[in-house]
Amino acid sequence: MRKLIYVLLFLSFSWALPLKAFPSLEKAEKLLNSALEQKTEVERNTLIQQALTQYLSLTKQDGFSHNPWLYYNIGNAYFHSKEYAFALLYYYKAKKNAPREQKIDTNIHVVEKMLGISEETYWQEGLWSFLLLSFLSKQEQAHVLIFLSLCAFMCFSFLLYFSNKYVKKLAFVCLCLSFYLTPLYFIDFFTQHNDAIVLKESHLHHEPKENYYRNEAPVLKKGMKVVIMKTKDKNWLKVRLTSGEVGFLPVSSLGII
Amino acid sequence: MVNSRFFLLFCLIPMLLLAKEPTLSVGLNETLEGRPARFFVSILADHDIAISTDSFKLGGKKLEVQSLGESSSHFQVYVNGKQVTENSIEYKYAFSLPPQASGSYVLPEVSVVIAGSLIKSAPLTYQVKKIEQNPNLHITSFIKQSKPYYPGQILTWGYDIQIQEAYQDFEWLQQDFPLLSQNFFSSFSEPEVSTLQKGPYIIKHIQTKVRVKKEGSYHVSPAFIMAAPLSRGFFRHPIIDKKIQVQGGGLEIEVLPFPLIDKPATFNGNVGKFGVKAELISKPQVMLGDKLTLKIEVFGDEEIQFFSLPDLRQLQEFSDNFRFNDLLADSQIQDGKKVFIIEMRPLTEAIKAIPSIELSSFDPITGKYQLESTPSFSITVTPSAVVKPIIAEKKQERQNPVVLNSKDPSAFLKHSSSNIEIFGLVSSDDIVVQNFYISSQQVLHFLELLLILFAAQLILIKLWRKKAQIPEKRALKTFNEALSQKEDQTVFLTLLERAFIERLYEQGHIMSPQISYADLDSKKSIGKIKSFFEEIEASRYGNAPLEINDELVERAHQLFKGIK
Repeated sequence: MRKLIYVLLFLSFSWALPLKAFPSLEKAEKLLNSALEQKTEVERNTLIQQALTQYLSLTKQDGFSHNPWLYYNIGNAYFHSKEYAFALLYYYKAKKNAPREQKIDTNIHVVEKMLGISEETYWQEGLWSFLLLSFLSKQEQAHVLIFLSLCAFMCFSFLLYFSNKYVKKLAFVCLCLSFYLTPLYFIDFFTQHNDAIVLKESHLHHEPKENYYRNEAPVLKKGMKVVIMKTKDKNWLKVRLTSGEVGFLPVSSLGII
Repeated sequence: MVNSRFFLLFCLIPMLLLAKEPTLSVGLNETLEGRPARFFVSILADHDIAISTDSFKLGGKKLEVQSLGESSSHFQVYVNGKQVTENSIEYKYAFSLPPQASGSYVLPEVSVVIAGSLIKSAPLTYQVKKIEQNPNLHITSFIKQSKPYYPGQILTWGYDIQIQEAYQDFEWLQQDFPLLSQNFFSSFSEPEVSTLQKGPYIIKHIQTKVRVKKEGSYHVSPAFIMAAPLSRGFFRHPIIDKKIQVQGGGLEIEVLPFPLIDKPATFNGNVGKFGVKAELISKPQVMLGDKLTLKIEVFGDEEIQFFSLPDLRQLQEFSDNFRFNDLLADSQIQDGKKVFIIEMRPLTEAIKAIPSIELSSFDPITGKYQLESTPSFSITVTPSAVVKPIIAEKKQERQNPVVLNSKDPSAFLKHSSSNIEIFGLVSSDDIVVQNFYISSQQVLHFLELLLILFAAQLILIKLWRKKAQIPEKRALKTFNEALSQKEDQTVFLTLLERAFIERLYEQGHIMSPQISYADLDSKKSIGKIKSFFEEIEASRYGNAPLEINDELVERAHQLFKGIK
C-alpha cells in the first residue's frame, strides 16, 4: 500500500521533472555552430536561416514556449544574420523568462549599442525594480504567489480548529505578502499591457490609418521599446513610447516581447 | 415578406413605364482664339441613372470628359388640373478642345450610352473670337536663368504685366498664368508679386521658383487676362467699362541631359557651385564598435538645399571597414549651408583613418562638373572593453563567445556580421525543457479556489456548530439544574462549571466540551469566566467559607448570558 502511495505521489509530480532535450534543438545548435565557421557569407546565411527555422518551430511546442535559453539562442542566430532588431526582441523574450542572467543583459547592451539606441530609463522597469519584482520572472512570481497564498490558506484553516500564536503570526505575514504580490502579478493580465520592440522604422501615427502622421511625429528607430496599450484593430496597435507619447503603429512593425 | 416584395414590384413597374428618357445638351462659354474651348455637357433625367464616362463620344471618336457632379431638384406641375411633383436630376460633365484660330466652327454630336441606349446631342455651332490686343495692357513671361537648363536646377520664372497708368484700376475678370500652375517642374515657393513704375506704365512683376525635374522639351501655353477698366460714376461707384483681353508669354523650354564628358563616378545629380567643410565631432580614439560622428557642411548656391551625399555604404573603402546606421544621414539646412551628420562604427581594429569622401556637382553656368573632397581623419580603434572582461570571467562556464566558435579568428572577423563580441550559444544539453508552465489565468483560478475552499470551511464549521447547539441546548439545561441544586454547594459548582463549558462549546469559543475552566484562555470574555471560577475556588478554600447568595447567582447568570 505504501509503495502504491509513493508511485502515485511520484506520478502526480512528474510534470515538474525536466525532460530530455529534443533532437531538433541539437540539430539547430549544430547548424548554427557550423554557420559561424563558414567562410562565405552565402553559406553562412543559409545555415543560419536553417537553424532559425528549427529554433522557431520549437517555440510553438509545449515546454519551450517560455524557455529563456531557446529565445537567447534565437537572438544569437538573428544577431549573426544581422537582423539586430529581431535579435533584440528575442533577447528581451529571454530576459523576461530569466531576468537575472547577465549573459542576456550583456547581449542586449551590445545590440542596443549597435542599433544606436540610447539607453533610456524605462519607467516601468524602474517601477518593477522599486517593487523588487524585476528579479523574478513571471513564472517565479507565480510560484511565489502560489506558495504564499497556499501557506496563508493552510494557516487560517488551522486557526479555525486550533489556537496558536505562532501560526497566527505566520498566517498574517503570508497574507500580507500575498496581498502585496497579487495586484503586481496581475497588473499585466488585467491591463493587457505588453512590451514590444520596433522591428521596422515607422512614424508614430495619430490615427490607426496609413499616412496619418504629422511631420513632427517621431520616427521610431528599429529596436526601440514601446508599451502596447490596447489593440485598436487587427492591423494597428496603440502604443506608448518611453518619452510618454501615445500613438498608433502598424502591427507588422512591432514584435511583442 | 413575399407579398411585400410583389407589392413593391407592382409599384415599380408603372413608375418605370412613366419614366422619361434622359436628354443630353452641350453648351460653352465665350471662346477666344489661342485659348482652349471648354464645353459643358448636361444630362437631365427624372430618376437615378448610371452613366459610364468611358462611353462619351464626339462625332464617333472617344471623348475624355470630366465629371462636375450632379444636382437634383423637385418642382410642381399641373397635369389635367392636378398638381404633380416631378423630379429632375442633372448630371454635369465638361470637356476641352485645343486652342483654335478665330472663326465659326461646328461641334459634332456628343453621344453617351445610358442604360443600354445611345443618347445624342444636336450639333452645335460656335464662334471663336479674335483677341483684340489692347495697348494699355501687355503681358510677357521671363526666366531669370539663362539657357541651357539641366535637371535639378532651380529656375525663377514668372510674368511682367504692363498696365497703362490711367488704366491701373482694373477689375480682373479672368486670368490664367500657366507658369504659376504648371506641374512638370516642382515648385517650392509661393508666387511673389511686386509693382514698379516705369514711365507712364505700371509693371506688375509676378515670379515663382521651380526645380527642374528631368530632361526633355516642355511647352508652356500663353498667359491670358480678361479685365475691365474701372471708372467712377457720379456717386463714386465703380462702373465696369468695356472688357479687354490680353494674352502672351508662351514658352518652349528645353532641358538638356548632364554631359557625359568628365562625368565623375560619384556624381549623384547635384547641381550648382558648392564648397565643403568636414569635422570629426566625436573623439578620434574609440573602442571597437563605438560610434564615430562626422559632420559635413556643404555651402553654395540656392540648389544646396537639395544637395545629397553619395551612399557611403556603396563605397568599398567604407563598406569594408565601417558599419553605418540603418537610418539615412541626418541633414539640416542652417544659414545657407547644408549640414550632414554621419554616424559610423569601425568594424576592425586595423582601421587607422576615416577615408576622404568625394562630392561632385554640375555647374549649369560653366557647364562643367565640380569635384570636392573632405579631408581624411586619423582615428585609433582599441578593442572593446565592455564585453571582453565578462567573457574572460565566464570562460570556465559552459559559454561560447562568438570569437571562440571560430577556428580561425581572423577569418571570422572578416566574414562575421560583427566582431563585437556577444555571449554565444547555450548548449542544447543545458536547455531544460519544463513541461509545465503556470499561466496568469491558472494562478487566478488557484487563488479563487483557495478563497472558495476557505469560505466553504467557514460555512461548514458554522453549520456544524449550529447543529450541535440547537437540538440539545444542553448548556441552559445544566445551568438551570445547577440553580435548582443551590443547597449542595459542591453539586452546584460542578454543574455551573459544566454549564459554562458547554455554553462556550455551543457558541464556538472552544473546540471541545471535555475541558475544565483551568484550560480556558485568560483573555477577553473567556478570561472573565475563568477568573470568576478562580475567585469561587479561592473563597471555597479560604478563611471565609463560600456563601451561595443571590449576588453570586446573578453574577453567574449575567456571565452565562454574555457568552455569545
